[in-house]
Amino acid sequence: MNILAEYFIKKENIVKELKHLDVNQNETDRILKLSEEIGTFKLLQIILERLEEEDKKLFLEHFYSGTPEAVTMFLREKIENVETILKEQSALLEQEILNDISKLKE
Amino acid sequence: MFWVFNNKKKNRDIDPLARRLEQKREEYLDQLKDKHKELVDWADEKGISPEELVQKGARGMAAGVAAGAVILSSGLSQVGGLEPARNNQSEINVESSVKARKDISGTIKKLLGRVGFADERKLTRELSKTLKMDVKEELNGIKLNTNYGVIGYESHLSRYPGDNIGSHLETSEGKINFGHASMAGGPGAWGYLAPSQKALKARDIEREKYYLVVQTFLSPNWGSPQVKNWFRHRKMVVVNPENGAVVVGAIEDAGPEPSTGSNFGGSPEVMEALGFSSGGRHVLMYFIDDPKDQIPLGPYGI
Repeated sequence: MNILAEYFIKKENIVKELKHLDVNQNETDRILKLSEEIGTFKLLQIILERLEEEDKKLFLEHFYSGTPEAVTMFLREKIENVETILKEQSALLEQEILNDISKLKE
Repeated sequence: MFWVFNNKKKNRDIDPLARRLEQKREEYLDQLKDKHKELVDWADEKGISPEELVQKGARGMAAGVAAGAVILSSGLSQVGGLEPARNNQSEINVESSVKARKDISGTIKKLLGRVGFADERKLTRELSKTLKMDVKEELNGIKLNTNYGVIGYESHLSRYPGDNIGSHLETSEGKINFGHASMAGGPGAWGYLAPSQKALKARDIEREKYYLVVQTFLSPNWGSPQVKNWFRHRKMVVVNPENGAVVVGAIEDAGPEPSTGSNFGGSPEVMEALGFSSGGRHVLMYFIDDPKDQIPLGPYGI
């Protein structure tokens, strides 16, 4: 799991919601994996929108084969308040997914 | 048998939700590819798809994910506030993240048992195949005095003037695991990695974290500034033959003194990753031919 999915995509509320619906572990894992992938694509988009052209390739290199420390240092250097931005966007995404889950109850 | 399967507890049908999320996933991926052609071009150059960037990147980063998360969480508390429990959660994830990475130690132990240490050319060839990197006992005509010997547990290196143990260990994971290691009084044999804290780059941090010490001055090729510079930042693979652990590090210091009885040195992070809590243990060390600088430093896993 990548650093974006690991840290920013909060899974606790999704798991809790799925438990209420009596969803088994395999299906929960399937939904979590999809949530992580959606979150990563979304956050990558947000990051790339905020990076200068010459930094985008560097970031991708770090993200692909660097360490979390390298990714963190790089993003902090290049994007002001990066954690706050990513956290806010992740919260919106989480709410979207929770809304989708709640539709199952209907 | 069929009856048994059909009578398994039927949970709520989540297919509509999964389909909705799959659709959303595709939408986000399409948006990402449409808006950021540079990502598609970069992935093309690497020979991967944008989807694989997420999957393969995850694998490469797995061992250190929690460390990064802790860094991010400490940053969050400065800029936006974050509940402290997230730190704990992140640290708990270290173990599961490490487990997610395929452990190759058993394969390495078997390989060493089969090939032995005597035929270095054969050993490096086999290691290259298994580790999927170009492992060399001699690179660009340059050799070490030995590729098998005793490794010492080194202190942290000063990365820039004024670097101290507090600024050094940014992660709580680092403080827990490596805080006991002391700080060297100065930089490595080639000077500081950065002229100041501000100038310190992610790559410098990685190089110090996984730094190696070799007896450059005992190399049969020693004697010119070119050779000295050749060694700097040179990547090497370190193998603990006892447990099969493998770490990729970078040469950032020269030593140890022959009188110490050691042949090599490793940073606290290198040593712990090899499974050593102190020095005085035998390892194998070989150069890695990585001209495009694509092989990440740190504990190795596939």
